[in-house]
Amino acid sequence: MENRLGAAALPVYLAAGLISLFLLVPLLLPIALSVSDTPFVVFPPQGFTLRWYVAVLGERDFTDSLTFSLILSSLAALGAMVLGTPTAIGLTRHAFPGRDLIRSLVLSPLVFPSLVTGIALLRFFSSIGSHDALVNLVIGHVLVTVPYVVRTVSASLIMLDPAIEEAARTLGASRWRTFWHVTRPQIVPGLVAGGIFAFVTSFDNYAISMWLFDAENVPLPLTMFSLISRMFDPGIAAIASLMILLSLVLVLVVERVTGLQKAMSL
Amino acid sequence: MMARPDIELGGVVKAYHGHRAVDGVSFGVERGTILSLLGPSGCGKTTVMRMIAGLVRPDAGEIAIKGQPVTRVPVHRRNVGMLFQNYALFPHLDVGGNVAFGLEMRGVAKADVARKVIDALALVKLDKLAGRMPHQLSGGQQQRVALARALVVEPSVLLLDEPFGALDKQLREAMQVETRLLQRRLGITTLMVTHDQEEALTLSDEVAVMRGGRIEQLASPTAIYQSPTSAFVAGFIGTSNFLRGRIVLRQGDRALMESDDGIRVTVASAAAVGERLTVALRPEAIRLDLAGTTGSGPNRVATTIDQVIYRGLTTHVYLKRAGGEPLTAIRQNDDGAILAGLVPGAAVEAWWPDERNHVVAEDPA
Ligand SMILES: Nc1ncnc2c1ncn2[C@@H]1O[C@H](COP(=O)(O)OP(=O)(O)OP(=O)(O)O)[C@@H](O)[C@H]1O
Ligand SMILES: [Mg+2]
Repeated sequence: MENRLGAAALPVYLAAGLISLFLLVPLLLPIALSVSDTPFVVFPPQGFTLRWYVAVLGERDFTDSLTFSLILSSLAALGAMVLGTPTAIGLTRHAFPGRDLIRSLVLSPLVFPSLVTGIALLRFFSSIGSHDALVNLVIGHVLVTVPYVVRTVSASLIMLDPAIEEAARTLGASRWRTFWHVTRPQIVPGLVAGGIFAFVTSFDNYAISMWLFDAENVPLPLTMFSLISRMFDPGIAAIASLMILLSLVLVLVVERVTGLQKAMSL
Repeated sequence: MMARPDIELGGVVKAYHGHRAVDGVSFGVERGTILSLLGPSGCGKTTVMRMIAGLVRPDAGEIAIKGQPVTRVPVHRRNVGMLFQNYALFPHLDVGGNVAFGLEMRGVAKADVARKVIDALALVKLDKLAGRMPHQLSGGQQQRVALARALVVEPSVLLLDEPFGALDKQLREAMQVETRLLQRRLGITTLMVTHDQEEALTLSDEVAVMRGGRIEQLASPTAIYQSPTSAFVAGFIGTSNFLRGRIVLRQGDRALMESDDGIRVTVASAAAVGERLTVALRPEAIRLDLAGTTGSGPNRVATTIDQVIYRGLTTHVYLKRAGGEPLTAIRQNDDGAILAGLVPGAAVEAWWPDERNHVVAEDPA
């Protein structure tokens, strides 16, 4: 694209630079601190070492929790995709009484305080005698992540011209084959983006997890919180840096698959 | 023996929210011909076509394709080729993939698919673009791909919904001619929806003029134009002057009608004296005598010229009668020049041959 800023270019670049700095410093700081060759977190960091990463990756509490969270968030994302896709299709493609109400209910976890959802779930699970922490956590996380999938898949469906599906039907494709050969390829980007949002949201979740975990099933945010209160060396910065790295990778994946702007829309 | 029409509709009805979008439509499209559904926006043309394709389920009535009742057959087993207004190409498949789709759905062997795709693309002169994606094609090319995709499965009938609407004038005319030639060559029975009367008249074997969910008149293009049966058709296809009045005299199978504003015309009608009639009169039937009032008698009237509009091939002359009532005449220009003396304010005598008076049905309203 050509540069049309002209004389205004300098202040615009300056402002953009400052804003980027403002956003990036809190992210870059832990990375800088995590390589400091000192027994405590100090600023400015001194020397360079990767031993804190080695130490952290040898910490059983951390690695167990990381493994558990990866499993939990993958299951939650999968569940959100499996439930969210048909929900999105129903809500965008079919007019039925109460559609708006159901849409609001499905999307309500986006605005409803998840702390409250967590307590409610805890009461609910104990009243029905469901004591498997992993199952409870997956259900709770699916509940709060399904809206992301519903939104991104709905956005892809709205952009899909219904005539394209009708064309497939007239060309001899049954409803199911039309979905598989025509609709599905169109909504995959939205589905992947929604799945990644669901994964990240679940991976990051504290408010629901704190009510539903038990000693054997501790999601990473809870472990990190307890580590911070008893760990004073740069290892905690190393953990933060690893989290940032993971998020960065996922954001890049979304960007490659759909374009972040498109995925965020709606 | 006369074969059954390839497309048959009998008493087809479709209502949306209690309003009948299609209100009892019956017609047939003969093998190998093109029939156009023509009518103003919202009259139900697309709905009729979608019911034939199976995309809309009729509330009542029967539909048959090639003699087989299909009213309860789902879309994908009707074997219709349909061209959508915006072409509806599959955006994730290349041109070859788009054309192959219908064949793959029918389980045609891979080698045959490849051969048929190439043949179909050659048919629409696009064999060199098989690897392109739809968004890399011009509107005209997209339309050809859509046509190849619809034809490659050898459909029983071809359905075209405003197929040329999205193309600019030049390309539209080229595609119209091309589509017509292709249709003739393949001999495929075709139903076309359009609201462009010129398109309907030039491309069709028969034209069905629709209005408010009903077929107002179904006839050949010439018959529709020359002998419209209703005031609506006479006004919708081309333009018409309307003279409304009463029969004042009968003579054999002819009658003399005097319009409410005093023009006397002779018509072929069995109506009795005193009965009310409407006569449609094409503007191009009207001759203009610059000599002023010369004759008397029916089928002529004294007027003054109100406006003259030059249209290249023709000149539209807007006339006014003594009482201010308008009358429009269209004259062909000789050598591209306006007839001398056609200037606003001039007095002219307008007259026309009596066979150009057409009695038409008035609106029931
Ligand atoms: N799915 C639908 N739901 C509700 N009303 C509909 C639906 N489809 C069509 N209609 C109504 O039925 C009537 C006929 O529509 P249709 O699309 O058949 O008209 P058309 O003759 O094709 O018009 P156009 O020239 O504008 O395409 C219109 O009043 C339209 O609003
Ligand atoms: Mg239409």
